[in-house]
Amino acid sequence: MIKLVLLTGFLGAGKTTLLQRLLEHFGNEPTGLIVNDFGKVNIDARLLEQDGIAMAELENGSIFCSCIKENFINALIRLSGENLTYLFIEASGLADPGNMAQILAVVGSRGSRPYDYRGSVCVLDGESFLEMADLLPAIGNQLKHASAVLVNKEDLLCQERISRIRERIGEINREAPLFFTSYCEIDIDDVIEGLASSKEEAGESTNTPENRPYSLILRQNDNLTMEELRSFLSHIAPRTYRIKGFARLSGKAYSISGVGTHIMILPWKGEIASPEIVLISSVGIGITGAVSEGIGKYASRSLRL
Amino acid sequence: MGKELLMKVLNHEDTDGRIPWVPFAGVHAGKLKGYTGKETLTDASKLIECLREVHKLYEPDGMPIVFDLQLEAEILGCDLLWAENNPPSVVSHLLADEKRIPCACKFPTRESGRIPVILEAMEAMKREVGDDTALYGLICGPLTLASHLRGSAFFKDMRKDPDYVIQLVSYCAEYAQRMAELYIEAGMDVIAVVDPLVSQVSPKAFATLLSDSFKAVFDYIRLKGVKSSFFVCGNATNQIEVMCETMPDSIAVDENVNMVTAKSVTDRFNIALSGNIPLTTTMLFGTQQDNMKGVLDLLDSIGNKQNLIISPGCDMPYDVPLENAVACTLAVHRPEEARTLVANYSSDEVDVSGIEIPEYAALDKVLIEIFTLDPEQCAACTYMVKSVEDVYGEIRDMADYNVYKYFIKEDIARTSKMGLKNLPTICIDGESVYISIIPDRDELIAEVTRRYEMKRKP
Repeated sequence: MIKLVLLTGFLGAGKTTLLQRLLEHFGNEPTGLIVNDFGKVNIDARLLEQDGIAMAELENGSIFCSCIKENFINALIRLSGENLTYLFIEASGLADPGNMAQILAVVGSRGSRPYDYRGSVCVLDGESFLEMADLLPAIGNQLKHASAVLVNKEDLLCQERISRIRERIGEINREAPLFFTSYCEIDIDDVIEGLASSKEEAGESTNTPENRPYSLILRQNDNLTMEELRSFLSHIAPRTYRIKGFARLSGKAYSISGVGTHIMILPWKGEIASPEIVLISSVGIGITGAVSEGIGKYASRSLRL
Repeated sequence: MGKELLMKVLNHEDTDGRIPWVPFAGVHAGKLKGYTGKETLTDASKLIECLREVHKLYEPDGMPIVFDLQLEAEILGCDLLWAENNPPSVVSHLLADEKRIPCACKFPTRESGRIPVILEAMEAMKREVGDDTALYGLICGPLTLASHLRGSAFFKDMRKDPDYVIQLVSYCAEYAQRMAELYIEAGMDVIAVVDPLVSQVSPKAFATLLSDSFKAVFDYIRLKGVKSSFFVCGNATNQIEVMCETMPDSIAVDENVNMVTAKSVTDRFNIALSGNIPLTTTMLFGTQQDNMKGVLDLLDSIGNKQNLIISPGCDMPYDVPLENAVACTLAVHRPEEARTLVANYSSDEVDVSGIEIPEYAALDKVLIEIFTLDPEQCAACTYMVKSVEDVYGEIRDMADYNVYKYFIKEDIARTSKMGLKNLPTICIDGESVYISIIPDRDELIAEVTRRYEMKRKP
């Protein structure tokens, strides 16, 4: 049986970082990966690409939403034919895994080998969790169905906030072991070996087309400078849940990752075919105006749609 | 050449008094080659043939590829009623009984619905005439698309469930962005967001519920590096300012709007104004002289010639005589030549002698008269007629209704005799009650009931 682990967590909580740690940890075992991202460009797939990993990329929304549920099921069926020990699924940030059990029931006999669903690991952004949980029902559902909970960015939290987070998580899910960490630096065996599928009863996912966030993809010209990029991203960041992508500045590749107003631009060793930046809006379609203004102000000749 | 002139206007530059001409030949293009409107809108090779003819005969500085606001609704699952020589109309509404937002997986692609036909024509025309003529890709505006999807219930939603309206219009705006992207990739120089219903919504409601979505579409088009236009039909005089605030590069209006008044607003925003040769009275039923004079009078009435485009008020009727459109071409491109041709010419007054106006007070029932441009083709007219049809079952004992169409000579005369200046308008017992505003169901029933009870009082 292939051990199946689902990773959930809001945009920018640290799911991709956790996946990188998992792939490192299980490097000697045959491992598969399903990544799910918004928009046409799957940035996470590029970040996680490496030899020997069986990967399926899904795009355009949550795997639990009716739009692409079928693609998700087909990917599960296809990967069940691979000789894998573990299959990790990185759900997009707003995925609501309420109907995971139903999905596995559909995969059931259609797959080559059965899956052993170990449960889901929910990664939370310690900095924003308390506010976001009130705003977005998907976060509460991710937590409710979790078999383990990782609260990331511990280094940025005071004791009082940690207590409030513990209390809030306890109201939603008392069963799942809770880990506080930074940059997902944690003993992977502790998290993965101890997983037991959530006892929560399956329900309908809250994922519907209308709660899919609006996203825009930006492209760059060769003349883009670090200063232009930084200024533009700082301008637009307050209107985003998440910024991610790649840029090429003076011939060098960089990865871009932003959550709320925190933005990191780091040198990137891999190849980037076409540099692109995905903006996931927290203000709906209205971000178009802010992008137009930001490009006009800071990068009129170097950034474009 | 023409394209350069039009682009200068859309860049708000001075053109030394030269004005560009953009004939909106939609289904009318079909007439030029003997094809029906339906053939023109469904067959790429016929469409291309017709567009070549428009380019040859009307010497356009800019021209649309198709004028069909139903294309997007059709892709999303609404049924269309095809007419031979008109664009189709929407007859069933996907969300009529279900208040939801359609799935993002329904966003258009190169393969959706009739888009392959349109892209083929766009790409061909771009190759053939794209260097000298600016090409317009027309997309259905978010408000009209939302009402196509939801039907007449949409207007009630505006009052009862504004959050839903914002969400649905925002979805339609994202849809419009995707349409714009496809058309821009096919080489379009201008994307026109065509939203006739904007004139039916108060400026306040537009600003509160719709403005952000429209602005997002125009911002997107600008970010894509092409020009935009915001087309409206009907009396949008009061909406011009809020339309300008969404920042299109140009606005196109029909004969219901006074160009001089509108231009005083668009000039403040440095936005180009396009319009507004009357479609039926002048282009369809007028003479060549009427058309030349109409254009010259329009040009003469406007002081500031910068930021100005001459075009028909909206999609030209199928049967516009070729010579009338040619007359407009001449008047825009060579006004002095046209002036000598129309010297001492004055148009005939509309003959209203055969029209009888009912004695309303003597009627047993209340009489609702709906004066439209065309109840099948003008979206605002369609929804206005539907607003009465929808409640008729409940008021039939109290009221009768008639629909008048401004492409029938007798109806034009009746409209004139009633003294109506704007279409569509609903008159009740001879009084203009809803001018360019689609009445709410409850409101209409209350108005008819009140008038019926007045009649019955001794």
